[in-house]
Parts: sequence; C-alpha cells; structure tokens
Amino acid sequence: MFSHLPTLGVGIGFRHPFRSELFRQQQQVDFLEIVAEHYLDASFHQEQELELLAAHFPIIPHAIGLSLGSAEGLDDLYLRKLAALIKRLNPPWWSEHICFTKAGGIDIGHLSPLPHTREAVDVLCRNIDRVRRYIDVPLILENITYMMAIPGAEMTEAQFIAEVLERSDCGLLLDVTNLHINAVNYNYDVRDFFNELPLERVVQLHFVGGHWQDGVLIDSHSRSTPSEVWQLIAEVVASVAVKGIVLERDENLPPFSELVNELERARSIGRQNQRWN
Amino acid sequence: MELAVIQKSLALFYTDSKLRSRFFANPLQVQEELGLSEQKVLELSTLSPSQVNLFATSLKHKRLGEVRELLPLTAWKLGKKFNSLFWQYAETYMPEGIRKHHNDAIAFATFIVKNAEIAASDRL
Amino acid sequence: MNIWLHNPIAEMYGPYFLLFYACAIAITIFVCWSLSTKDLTANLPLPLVPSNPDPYEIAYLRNSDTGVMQLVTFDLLVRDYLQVEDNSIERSPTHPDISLLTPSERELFDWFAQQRTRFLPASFQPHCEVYRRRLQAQQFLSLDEWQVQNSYVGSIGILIILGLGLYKLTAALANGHHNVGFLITMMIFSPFLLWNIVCSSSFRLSDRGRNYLNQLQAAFAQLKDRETNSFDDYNLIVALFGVSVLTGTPYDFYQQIFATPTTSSTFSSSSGGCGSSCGGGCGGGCGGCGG
Repeated sequence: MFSHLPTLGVGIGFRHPFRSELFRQQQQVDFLEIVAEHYLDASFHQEQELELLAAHFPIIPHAIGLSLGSAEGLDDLYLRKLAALIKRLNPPWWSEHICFTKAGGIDIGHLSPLPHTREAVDVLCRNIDRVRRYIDVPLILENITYMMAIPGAEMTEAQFIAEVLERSDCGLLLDVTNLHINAVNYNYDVRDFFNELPLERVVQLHFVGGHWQDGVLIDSHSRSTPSEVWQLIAEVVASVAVKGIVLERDENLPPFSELVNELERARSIGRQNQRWN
Repeated sequence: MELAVIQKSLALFYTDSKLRSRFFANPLQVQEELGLSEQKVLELSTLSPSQVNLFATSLKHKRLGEVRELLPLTAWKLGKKFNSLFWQYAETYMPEGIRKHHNDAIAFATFIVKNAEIAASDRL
Repeated sequence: MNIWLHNPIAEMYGPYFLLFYACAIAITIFVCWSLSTKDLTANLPLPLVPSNPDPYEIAYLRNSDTGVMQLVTFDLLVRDYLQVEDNSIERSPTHPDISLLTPSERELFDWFAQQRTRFLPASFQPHCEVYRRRLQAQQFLSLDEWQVQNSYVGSIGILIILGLGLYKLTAALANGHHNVGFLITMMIFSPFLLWNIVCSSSFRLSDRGRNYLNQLQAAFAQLKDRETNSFDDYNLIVALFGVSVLTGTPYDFYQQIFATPTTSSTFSSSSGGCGSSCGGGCGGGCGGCGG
C-alpha cells in the first residue's frame, strides 16, 4: 500500500542544540524530521539552517499545529505556509497528529485528544481532503497521548484511528512511546490495540522516553527509551515494513553520543528484520 | 456541528481556570454559556477534574518553557519571581498563530513592565 | 594657458559642475565595473560539510598562512611542546618526542627556539601551499589574474575621477573660487566606492569560498558554546572562528596570549600582510523542540 515510499532508515527529530554534533556524526543519521512550525515564518538564519540541513539529509516535515481534528475547519494561512514549506523540501511524506489544537478562536498550544466519534472521523477526513488540495505529498497521521479520554466515545481509540486511516487513505506514523504511555495510564493491552490497527499502513515510527509525575506517565520526550518501548519497536518492525524510525528527544538532552547509541539500537532492530542495511 | 461546540468547551476548560472551576462545581450552570445540550454537558462532566487540571497545567508549563527560552536574561534577572509572574500572566492572555511563542514572550514582557509600573506607583 | 583656465568645464558654475562630476563618477564606475572580471563562483554548488573537516585547511581558508600558524601553535601549546612564559611563547624544556611532529609543526617548533623576528619565517609558507592548492582547486580562492586585472581597471578609473577633480580644483582656485568643500569630499569618497565595486572580486576568498566558510561556521557554531569539547573539537573551533573563541574555555589563557599585541604581531604573515580575515558571520538560527 505504501510500498512505493522509499526506505529512509533511522532518523532523529532535529533540535537546534545538537546541530554541530549532528554534522560531526552525520553518518549515524539517515534522515531528519523537522518541526514544520519552526520554519513556517522563518528568519533568514532559519532559512539558511534549513537549506544546510536539506543539503545533507532527507527531511521529513512534522506538523504540530494544523489541527486536523478541528470541527471549525483549518487555518488557511497556516495551511498555505505549510504547503509552501513541503513543496520546497519535496519529502517522500509528511506527518501530522490525530488531534485538535485550535477551537473557538483559542490556540490550545498542544495536541488535544478528540472524542472517538463518527463525527470526529468525518471532520478529520473532510479536513484531510482539504489539505490534499494544497499538498500532494503523502500524509501520515500520528497517534497521540492524552491525559484524559474525552467522554462520548462510539468506538475504541484503535478503531477510531483505523477508521480515519482507511477512509482518508493515509499512512500511520505509529508513536510507539505514545502507545506505551496510553496503555500504561489507561491500563490496556497494547497487543489488543495492535490487533485493531491496520498495521500495513504503518510508514514510520517515533520513539523516546517519558517520565512519571503524580502517578501518571508523561510523554515528555525527556528520557532515554525504556525497555518496554524497545520491545514494542522490535515487534512492529518484525511484522511491518516500516520506512523510517525517528528518535524524538526534546527535553533534558543528553550528550549526542547517547542519542546515537539509541539510533544504533533502532538500526540493529531494522537490520535484524532486513528492513534496511 | 456538535463537535465544534464540544471542542470550544474543551479549549475553554484547558485554558480558563475560572470557567473550569465553575464547570466542575456545577456543570449545568455553565451549560448556556458553553452552548451545549444538557446531555453533552452531563457527558463532559464525567471528565476527571484532576486530569483536566493536570493537562491545563502542562499547557502553562509548556508556554513557560518557551517564554523562558525567548527571555533568558529576564528569567535570569527575575529568578524565581519569573515563574510566579508568569502564572499570574498566563491567566490573562492566550497566544495564537504561527509565532505564538514570540507573541507570548512579548505580551509577558509587557505584563512585567506594567506590573513594575503599578508597584512603583503604589510605593509613591 | 588661458584655454586651461577659460573653457566650459573650468568656468562651469559650481553646482552644475558637481552634478557633471557626479555623472562622470557614475559613468566611470559603471564602465570599470563592466570591464572588471566578475566572480561567478557563487552559482556553483557548495560541497557538503564533512564529518571530520581538516582544521588546517579551514584555518587557511579563514585566515591564510596566519590562520594555519596560529592553529599549529595552539596545537603545540596544548600538546606541551610549547609553553607560555612571561606573556610570550617559547619551547617547553620538557617537551615530548619531537620526532612525532609533522614538518610544519617542526618548523614552528624550531622557530620558537630562535631569536624571533617580527614576522614568521618565509620557510613556513611552503607548508601552507598544499592547502592553498586544494582550496584553489575548489575555486574557494580568488584567482591572482582577477586581482591584477581588476586592480588595473580600478586604478585607471580612480585616475580619471581624481584627474578631473584635481583639474577643476586647480582651475577654481586659480579663478579665485574657494568654496570647494563638496568637490574635495567627492574626490575623497568616490575612489573608495569605485574600488569596492570594481575590486570586490579581488578579496582573498571567492564568493564560493566565503559561502563555504559560512556554511562550515553555521554547521559547527554550537561547538563554541559547549561546556566540554574534545581536543579535536577545539582545533576545529580555532580553525573556524579564530583564537578569540577560546574565551571562557579551559584554553582561555592561550587566547589571552594570542590577543596581546606583541604576540599577535608575531603572527603577522611575512608575505606582506595579507592574512585578512574574510568570511565571518556564523549561521546561528533556530530550531528547538517540537511537540
């Protein structure tokens, strides 16, 4: 289904503080994922940075503020700027989240969960249709973590994601850490979740570690990847021909060599399953 | 169309602590204000207040982190007061748009200046 | 003699002449610019940033022989072949085995044992020749021919501008006019303008070289801000940004030594003081964290 997409290998979410180290160890990183929002209204220096990165690595734009789940529709200006950025980078795919970030003129500033209803599926599909009028690069959708489940659900989260992916014909950016965190916080079995997902649609994975706070596991992108997540990565990579896998560390950045170790571990999982060299 | 109203209500719960308190104290009292049906209000009232509070706080922490990065000298100079001022300020303004963090930092800087001016005039 | 003092140009009303002179300057600059050799290397694609760039090559790119000499000296200081004594650099009495030194390092090491002249020895320059050739092959350096031809064209243009101005100045003074301030101002500033426009491709680095240096500086800018760096990283930092970036690092002391007037004059190039630092300006930019 997404077999025509190129295999990128092991990448990292680009963060400015490790730019020099990234160039020092560029052979350890197959591709980069950039936060699209950082480059939509780019300064001259940001433009130069993006040019420099794009000259050295394949780049996947990762959007966080399009608010695909907003029932009131999409922000036109944001969409046009995002489309221009993606056109300029010409990536094999780009990604957004299954969530909403704006409603009633309020920019929540974070990924907020949708109620798992048919209406929400309709809204997502309608917005994705609209996005496709501007952006013809394949879109893959990411599952998020949530601190509370929105009441009124008509289906499970996995069914909801599956329905959105099938109806919109999008790929899945499976955030294995998000999956693990939700399973821990809401006490469900990840394997049951897998069984309801169209795994053949998985194109890319995200992984990182979170931290515990007041008895809740938080998706803070601030710790090294826990063993449970490595186990899940191994299971997914064994059963799906993923095209890329991205370490998404944001906070509490360790020496770059530690991140490289995690990339190397992810690479070896892919190699064991003949996903890449 | 009901989803739009639900999303707007959720956005308000996440960002307006007073409304959030009023809602969890008596959901039906804010039903009209939110434009929700009684059934939906009762449904939303099953949300866990502690979980919503935790999410709302995390949003502010995220804003604080971004603003601190954009105003490093102000943060250094104000020390612990930077955080307490930000918590006061965060209730008064919600940034939006692509450059929301920059707008947030500018608005917070203005808030600090106004606060200082008020404190100075009080001393006089 | 009369014809020299009494002709339309010599007797032209002052403001009209200034207007005429301004036009003459503009036309001269345009003609000289048209005749000069243009640096077209900016359109060439830049090479990729290597993981392990050669710091000596970068030092040469940034600051010619002087850059390489500073880097070799820094390297020898850190490796205890040299030491700082009374604000000057000299050979360390307890230096490690000198057979481990490369020829360029040995050259400099030996030089520090001698009574030093103001300039570094010409014998060091051949060690930099390999870098010059490599950079020249990649079109990072301006060609000598460009510099010669553009200097020639620029000189002729300046002669025309100054000649016309001096003639009018002489004629005005001879005719008893002393309000020549604007004329003199134009005579002073227009040659600088012409030289900058016509001879811009006579800088040591070509546009491609400057762009490549900027790219390297942007790629490795954060090494400057890190609390801990390996010795290799420090070498690269000094090569890219000069010794001034050592401020606040464990090698701050060396930076201060390099910064003292006596030491910095020591590191002037004997080739007549090219060594001008080109490029400059790091990339910076933003990135940050995502959700």
